Amino acid sequence: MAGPEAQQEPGFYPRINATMVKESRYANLIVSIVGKCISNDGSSMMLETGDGQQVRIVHEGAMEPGQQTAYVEIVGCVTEDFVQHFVCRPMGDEFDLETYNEMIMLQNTKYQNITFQDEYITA
Amino acid sequence: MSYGGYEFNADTTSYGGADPMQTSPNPASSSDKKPRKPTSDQFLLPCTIKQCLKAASADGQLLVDGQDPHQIKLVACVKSKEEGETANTYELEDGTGLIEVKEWINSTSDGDHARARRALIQPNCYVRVVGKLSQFGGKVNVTAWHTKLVASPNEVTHHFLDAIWCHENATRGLINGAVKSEINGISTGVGFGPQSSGVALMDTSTGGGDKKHVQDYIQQFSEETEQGVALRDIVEALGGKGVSESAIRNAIQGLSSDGMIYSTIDEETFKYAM
Repeated sequence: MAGPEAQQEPGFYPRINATMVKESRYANLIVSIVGKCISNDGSSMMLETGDGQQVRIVHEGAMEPGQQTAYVEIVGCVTEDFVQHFVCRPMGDEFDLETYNEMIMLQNTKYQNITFQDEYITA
Repeated sequence: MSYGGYEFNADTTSYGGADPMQTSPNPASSSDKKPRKPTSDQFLLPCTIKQCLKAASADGQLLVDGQDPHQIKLVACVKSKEEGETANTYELEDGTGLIEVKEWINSTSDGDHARARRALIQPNCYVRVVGKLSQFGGKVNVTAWHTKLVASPNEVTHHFLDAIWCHENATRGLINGAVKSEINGISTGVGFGPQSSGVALMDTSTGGGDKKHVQDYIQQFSEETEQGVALRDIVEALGGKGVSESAIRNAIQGLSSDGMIYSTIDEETFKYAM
């Protein structure tokens, strides 16, 4: 885990899935999550990511139900076991989540050197 | 928000052509003084923004994975866009970093199609950018000669996988998907020569590593006999290391058309030309 003095540089946010939200490594970090919208009650939504797990995104009305594409990318802050939404980007209605998941696993493990800000690279 | 409806041109060789650095007024470019590289040294490298930002080396050269890419390709999200009379300036982020991209506009030769394409690019859109790395005031940025909305969000996944593949090929040298190991009698330094860098994007018939190994072998044994190196010897030497005969034949064809080797007594015996 990065030391307490490390700050995320602009443009750096790890791409993760629902399982990784619970890992201490990403606690309180700004991250990106791509997933399929499962439900949206107007103040939070559930996204299903490529690992088959679901994560809650708290958006407090920023995302109107039924107005998003089937797949979205959320950039937000990991807070306990949910993600506080900052930005939502549409990812169309046909997105290959499985391949995306494989890709982010590579980025978060073997290829951190070309993906992660140096202070956040872990062994 | 739509992603336009543009066809994705997978033929990245179409991004080659006239070097825009000769018309760009960017004073910081040092590549204006360098002689134009031969076509075999020019390639398009898909990379992450972090790789671009880390490209600056001690001697002022901009190298990605130890190589000077003629062009780089990024797929990233527009964080901000500043429209100007002669250029648009974007800030792009892809999760690995943030970089400034400048796209010069030639208003006299610009058509409606180009203007319409640029107008579609707005903050929070994913775009594909092809351009050249440059450095100004200690910061690395990109001078783009092509910017376009991605044809599909899956292009984001594809680009990152492509960047990983090229990075792996550059740093460890893939041979038919297997990681390169020490090959006896053949010099295999870290990094790679011009023929192998990014060749996968332009030459889909052989991995860049195969061509380098065949070249190294022929170079090493070329002078041992007057007629040079026989194909069957190359197949025997490299076959055990996972290089197939068809890959060797493809590599020989490439080396021959590059002028690196020539045939001697028959079509299957070669000498090193350099």
